[in-house]
Amino acid sequence: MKTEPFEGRRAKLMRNRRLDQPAWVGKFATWLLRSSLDLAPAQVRPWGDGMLAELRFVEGSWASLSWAVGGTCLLLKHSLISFFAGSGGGSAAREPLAGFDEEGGMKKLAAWVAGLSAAMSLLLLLSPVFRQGLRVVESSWRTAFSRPLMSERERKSLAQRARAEHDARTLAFLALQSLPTEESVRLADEAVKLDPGLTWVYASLEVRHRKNPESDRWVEQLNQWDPDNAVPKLVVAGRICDETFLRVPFGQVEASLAANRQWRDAMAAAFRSPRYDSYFGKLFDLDRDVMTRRGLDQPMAVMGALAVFGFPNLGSLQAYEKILLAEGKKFESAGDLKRASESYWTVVRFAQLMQLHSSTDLERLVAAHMLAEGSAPLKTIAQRQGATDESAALAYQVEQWSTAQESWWDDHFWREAYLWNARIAGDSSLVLVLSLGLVLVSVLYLGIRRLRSLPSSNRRLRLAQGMAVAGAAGLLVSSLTLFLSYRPFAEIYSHFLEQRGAHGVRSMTPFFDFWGPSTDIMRFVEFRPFAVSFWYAFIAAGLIALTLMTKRLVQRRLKPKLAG
Amino acid sequence: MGEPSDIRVSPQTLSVLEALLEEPAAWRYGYDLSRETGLKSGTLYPVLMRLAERRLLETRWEATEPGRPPRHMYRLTTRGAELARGKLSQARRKRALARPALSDSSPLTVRLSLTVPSASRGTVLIPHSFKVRLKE
Repeated sequence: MKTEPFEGRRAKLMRNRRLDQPAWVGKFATWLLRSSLDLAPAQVRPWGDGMLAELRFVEGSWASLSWAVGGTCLLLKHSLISFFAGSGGGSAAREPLAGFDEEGGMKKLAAWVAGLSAAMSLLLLLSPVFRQGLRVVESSWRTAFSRPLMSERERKSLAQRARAEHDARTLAFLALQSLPTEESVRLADEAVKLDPGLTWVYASLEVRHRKNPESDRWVEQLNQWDPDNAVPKLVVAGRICDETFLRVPFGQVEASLAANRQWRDAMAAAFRSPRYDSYFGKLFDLDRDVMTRRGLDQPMAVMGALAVFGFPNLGSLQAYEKILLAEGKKFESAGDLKRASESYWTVVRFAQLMQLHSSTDLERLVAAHMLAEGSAPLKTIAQRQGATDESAALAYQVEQWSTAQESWWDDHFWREAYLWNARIAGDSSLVLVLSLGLVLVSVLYLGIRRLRSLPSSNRRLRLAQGMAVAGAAGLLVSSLTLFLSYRPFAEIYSHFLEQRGAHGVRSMTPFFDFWGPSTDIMRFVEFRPFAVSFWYAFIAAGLIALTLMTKRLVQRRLKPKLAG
Repeated sequence: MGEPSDIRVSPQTLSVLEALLEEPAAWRYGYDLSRETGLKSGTLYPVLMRLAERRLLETRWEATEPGRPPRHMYRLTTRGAELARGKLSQARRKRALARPALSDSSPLTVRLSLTVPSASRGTVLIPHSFKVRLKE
């Protein structure tokens, strides 16, 4: 056939355009469509073959790709329908469950699958670990909405019982929960009145409640009760430090503190004290005791108390350490090595005391830093004086700082892993709630329909059945995921309650950071700890297994009917 | 299988029917139909499949030279052509009823606003309107 001049030019133009376009796109398009054709059910395959044959005539590589993508989507849709319906296409492919639904079989199957999944989820409620996980997640939601971990009713009832039984420890436990200042102060006073041995509670609450009207009385009482301890003095100094931070521009805080006689006296007294006790040990004992005695299976209450329990003011410690080191340097420059050493030793001695008696890793880290900072100039002085043994001992103390840092970062890594584990537990709980909602809505719809014998379209019925099955499957997968991802925390908590240590108990604090589903993908990409990958792989495997099981069940029930 | 009259006549189905009805006796390729109707493969083929399923469309394979895959071809059955005519005239009537006031000579006012950079005020909006007439 003779080509007209215009057509010839057009064809040439098209050829040139084709040359400009990457050849791999066209090849990829053919490969894509051919691959999806292999997956397509028999009835749809001729249509796929038709699309593939047409691909040769599509002008342009990108247009070929678009053609292939459209065809692939169509073929995959039919493959999926066929996968679930076990049928090759045609009307069954369009409405895969229609025939079955007429028989009422799908209804039974949906009820069976949904019922089984829901029953298995309910069975998990028998596990104390699962129940505890649910409680922890529920508490984390409370904190997300700035609500106390224990409801007002629970608190009041527990406080009433404690008062009636003269149970000072329970009152102290309640005071240490995240409560409004007035309520906390009242409960703490009641507890200390009943048992003066609980006066240490004031130290924690004093740090937490800045606007405490009883502050001066509490500090005085605390110092009388525990005069040898550095911590009550640090509490006083910490309060002055906080006020200075609010009042003075950031760069002038240290100078302002150095000029404050009251603060310097309090810090000097703290550094001279023969004891260091931040009362964390007492707090853990109190928590264990009250939790066990009162049967409170509420790990978040422990975490809550821990989170609000005040540390000695680290800014205050650092400022005083700097002042002492600067003084030492000044004496050293003036040639007064004796007084310089005294200043450095004050820092070292306090750091050693803190390191020996601290209950938390943060305190240990701060102590290690102070120890290294104080030991470094002492080591130089010892070297200058030819005291090699003393110099070696001091060098060892300086090196301890890098060991402490390594240990801190090692712990930090595990905290990240726990953080993600907590997030998975949190996300699972969200899916659990959504799934439960789906199940309830669909069951309610089906129930009302049955009770009132309402006519309903097949589509609506199938939608309700689908929702019930999907909801129940989601319920099962999310419950299992919550159970398994919470399990390590349950072990840590039980370890804590059995007085076998409180080291890991802080790993549960990520539950306080709960703010919904974990969407901060960048953090995931950045860290991607093994634990997270493992649990997401577990969820994916669970979903695949569930899908395959559902497919088999549906196929088994459908085949005889379709054959009939 | 549903009745032919039950077929869901979407705008896409209508355009396919219209294209097939141009030469009812001629066999058409999928790609040609796609170009004529402007529909992508993912939209066109489900329409063709539905029509074929209801026996409104017949298909056959075109014999090609050896080594080349045969091309799938389509044309309306007699019933299909009848239904297509009916549906198309129905659609045209609906279209005519939907815009009675708008004839080819009716002027349309088009309003635009332009955003242009201004040295003193950052950007300024300039409203502008003009009238156009529809043409074949």
